[in-house]
Amino acid sequence: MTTLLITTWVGALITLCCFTFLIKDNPFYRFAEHLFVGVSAGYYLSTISFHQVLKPNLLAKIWPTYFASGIAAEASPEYILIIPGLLGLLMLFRFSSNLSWVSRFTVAFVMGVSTGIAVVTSAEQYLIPQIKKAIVPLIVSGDYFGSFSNLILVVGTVSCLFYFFFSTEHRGPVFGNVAKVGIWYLMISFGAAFGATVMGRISLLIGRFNFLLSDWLHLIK
Amino acid sequence: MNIFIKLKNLDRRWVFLFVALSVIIPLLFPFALPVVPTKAVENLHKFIENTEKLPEGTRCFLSFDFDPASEPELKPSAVAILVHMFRRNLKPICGANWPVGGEMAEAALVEAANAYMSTYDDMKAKGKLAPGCKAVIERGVDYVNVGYKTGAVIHVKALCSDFMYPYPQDRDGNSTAEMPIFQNPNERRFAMSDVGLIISFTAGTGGIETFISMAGEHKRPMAAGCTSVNIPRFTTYLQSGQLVGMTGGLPGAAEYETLIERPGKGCAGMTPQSIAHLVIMLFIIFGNLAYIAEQRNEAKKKG
Repeated sequence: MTTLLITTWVGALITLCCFTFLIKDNPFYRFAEHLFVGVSAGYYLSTISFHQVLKPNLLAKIWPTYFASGIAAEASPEYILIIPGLLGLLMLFRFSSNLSWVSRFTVAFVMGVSTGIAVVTSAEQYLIPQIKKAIVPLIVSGDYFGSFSNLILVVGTVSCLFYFFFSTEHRGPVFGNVAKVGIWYLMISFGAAFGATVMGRISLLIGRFNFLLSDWLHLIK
Repeated sequence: MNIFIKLKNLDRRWVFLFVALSVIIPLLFPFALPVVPTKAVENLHKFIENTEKLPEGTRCFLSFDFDPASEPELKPSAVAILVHMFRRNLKPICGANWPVGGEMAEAALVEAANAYMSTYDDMKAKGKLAPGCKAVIERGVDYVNVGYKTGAVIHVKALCSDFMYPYPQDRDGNSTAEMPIFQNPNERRFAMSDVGLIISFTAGTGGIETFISMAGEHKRPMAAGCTSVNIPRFTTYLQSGQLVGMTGGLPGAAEYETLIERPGKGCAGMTPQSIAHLVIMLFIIFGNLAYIAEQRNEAKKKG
C-alpha cells in the first residue's frame, strides 16, 4: 500500500514536471527528462536485457546447470552459442576510439542477415500483396459504389506513382495534370495522418489526466 | 475581421489551456456518447467469436510491441481482447518485440484476468461464457507471459521454426517446457502452427509488420491493435486481407469494449476525446478565418 502511494505520487509529480514545459523550458522539465533517460537505461540493461534475453537465451544454454530452471537445467550445453556471445562482446569495443573498428564485424553480420531476410520478405509480403489488391475491375456489375471505390483506388495509385516518377518533367496537359491529381491524393493522405496523430496525442493526454484525477487525486472513479 | 486578426496572434498557451479543460471537464462530469463499432473492429470480434476458426482451448499469440508512452492508447484494447479471449476459453500467450512490452503485457494480463474472474458468475448466468470456462484461471495453464526477446524479424523467423527455443523461460524465469499451456496431445513440440491467431499491439516499427513480413512462413491469421498515428498505414493491410481485423487507438478500444459489453477506459475516454476534437476543430477554423482576414487586409492596403 505504501509502495503504491509513493509510486503514484512520484508518477504524478513527474507528470506535472513534464507539463511545465508547456509554459516554457525549465529545470523541473529537464530533471524529469534526465531522470527518464537514466532510469530507462538502467532498467533496460539490468532487468530486461539480462533477465529476459541474456540469461535464458545465452547463459542458460551455455551453462544450463547454473542458469537454467526445470528440465532445461538437465540439457547438454550448447557451446556453439559462444560464437554469437563473442560477437556481442565485440560491440563493447565501440567505447574505445582506437579499437572501435572491431565492432564493425558484429554490425556487418547483423546487417547482412537482416538485409537478406528483409529483401525477400519485403517483396513477398509487402509489395506483391499490395500490387495484387490494386489490380481491380473498374466496373463492378450492379455495384455502383464498388465501381466508384475501385476507380478512386486505381486513379490514386497511378497518379501517386507518377508523381514520384522524376524522369519526366511534370508539365503539360497530361503529365502535369496527372501529377497534380497525385499531389491531391498525397495531401488527403497527409490530412488523414495528421488527424490520426491529433487523435493519438489527445488519447495520451486523456490517459495522463485519468491517472492524475483518478489514481492520484481520487476525484473520479 | 479585427477579432480574427487578434486571434491569429493568440498565445499558444491559451490553446493548451482550452485543450486541457476540454479533457478535464468531461472526465470530472462524465456523460455518455454513443460508440459505434467500425468494420475493422467488428471483424476482429467476429473472428475471435468464431468457434470453427478458434475452437475452445486454442492458443493465441499476443505481441505487446509498445512502451509506457503508448500505454493509454493500446492497453485498453489489449485488456478488452484478453477478457474476450478468457470468456471464449482461448489461451493467450503474451510476448514482446519491444523491451518494456513484457511489463505492458503483465499489467494487461493482471487487469484482464481480474476482470474475467470478478464477473465470472454474472457472465455465466447471462450465458456469455464458453462451456469450458473456469471460475479461476491460472498462469502457465490458461495464459502465460513469456516476456521480451530481441531480434524483431530474426526473432519471429526463429519462432516460426521452433517456438520453444527462444522461450525456454517465461518473463518470471519459470521453465516453459513443463507448462501445460505449451503441451500438445501427442507430445509434439509446441510450434507457431499451433497458434490460432497472432495479434500485435503496435506502437511503431517492430510490431505487426514484423509478423506480416514472416507470414509466408507462419501462415497464421493476424490482427493488429495500433496507435492512432498508425491507422492510415495499417489500413492498407486490412484492404489487402493480410489482417483479419484491427483496433485503432483509444476509439478502437472503446468499440471493442462496446462489442464485449464491458465498458472500460476506452469508453470512458470517448467523451473527452470528442470534446477535445471539437475544440481543436474550432481552433483550426478560427486560424483559417484569421489567415483569410489578414490576406484581405493586405490586399486592401495594396489596392
